[in-house]
Amino acid sequence: MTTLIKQHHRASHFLLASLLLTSVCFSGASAASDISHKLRQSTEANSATENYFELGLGIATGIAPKLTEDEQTWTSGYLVMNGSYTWHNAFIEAYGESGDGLLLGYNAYESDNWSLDLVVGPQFSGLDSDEKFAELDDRDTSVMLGGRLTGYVGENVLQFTLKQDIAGKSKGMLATALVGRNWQVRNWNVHGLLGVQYFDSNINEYYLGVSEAEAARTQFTAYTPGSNINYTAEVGVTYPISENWVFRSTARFNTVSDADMNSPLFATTRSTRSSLSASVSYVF
Amino acid sequence: MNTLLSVNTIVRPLLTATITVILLVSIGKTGTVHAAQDELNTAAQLSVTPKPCVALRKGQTCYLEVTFTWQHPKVGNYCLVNATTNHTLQCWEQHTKGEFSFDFQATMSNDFALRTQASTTDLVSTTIPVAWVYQSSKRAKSTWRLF
Repeated sequence: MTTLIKQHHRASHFLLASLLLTSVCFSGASAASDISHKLRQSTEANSATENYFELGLGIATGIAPKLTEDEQTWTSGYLVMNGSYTWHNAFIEAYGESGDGLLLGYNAYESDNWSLDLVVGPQFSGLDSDEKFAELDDRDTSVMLGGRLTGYVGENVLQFTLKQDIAGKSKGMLATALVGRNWQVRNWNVHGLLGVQYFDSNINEYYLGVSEAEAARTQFTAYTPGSNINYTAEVGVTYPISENWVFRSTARFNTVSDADMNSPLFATTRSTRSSLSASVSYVF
Repeated sequence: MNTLLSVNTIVRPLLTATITVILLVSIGKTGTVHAAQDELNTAAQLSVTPKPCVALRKGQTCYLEVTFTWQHPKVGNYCLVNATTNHTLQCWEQHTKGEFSFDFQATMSNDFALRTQASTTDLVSTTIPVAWVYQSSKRAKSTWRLF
């Protein structure tokens, strides 16, 4: 599901490769995950959306650094697959707008205004099969395990995430802090979100680095990135067309750190990336 | 005595019969009046468009610009009433039909009725249903379980 969702950020499979590799950067969107969902549905403090599933189609356009193409702008259709199922305190969720993909979780603590979930799920993806990367080692998906603390402070929703790869792939750690709020303008649900993400050097090195061995057998120069911080901002609207159809649109902006852009894997570089998407989903 | 007895014998059944006839006639008339009234009320119409009102989440206020149209075969003073809140939206004097637009805002379905002015009886009614896409429920309170 992560891939499906991320696909909307990609103009082609080449772009897909770029984004898979640089999903660290896209984690700006990923980090929005559940908070984005909460904001979109204007859920009350510590309330959970009941079990549901939805399918939809969308179109997105944007500008971003790319691994294999000179053209930085892209436009693409994408599939929306959102859903959640809660059983006692355990849950499984997937929110297309988050990019976090499939997530298994357990609600460990709940008070009136704070909630702590233990979550685990796949995150980040390997390189695409583009010939440019044929001689490079595989970059496999990480399985990130950690905690997600969500708080409701006044009209704002706060979310802090700390996750570590337990699959032994990147062996990396990421931390995010997000704050958002929503407004209802008649039946339109508007939300805004600001966030910051920290990615440690293990994640960057695994996905964006080039080892000496790889450099020796390819045209890429060796590269060992450090940790980095990215910032993200998002504005979105959600509108109930009918009892079963929902319209969503999102404008998203992310900074891209030098640690990302100095990677020799990129064909073109930018210090920011932005996207605009719109989708219609059927809620079962 | 015999005379008195015979009078009683003749007059009493006559009185009884007369009263019975009068009662039957009056009941018949009342029935006819009620039937006619019911017919008029049945002929009364009230509709609202569009509907339903759809909110994103259960519990959210739902907004909808709606227009009511009503008609009644008999000229009279009528009021459009929100039967759920018992709030009168608009009254018309000596009309047989009317139209009224307003901005519906509610978290739950509301019933509306056409009533004769100063009456609490619904001549005809309709509903603006409030629906939503996502249910949401409060999570069960819990304490630390893992740590």
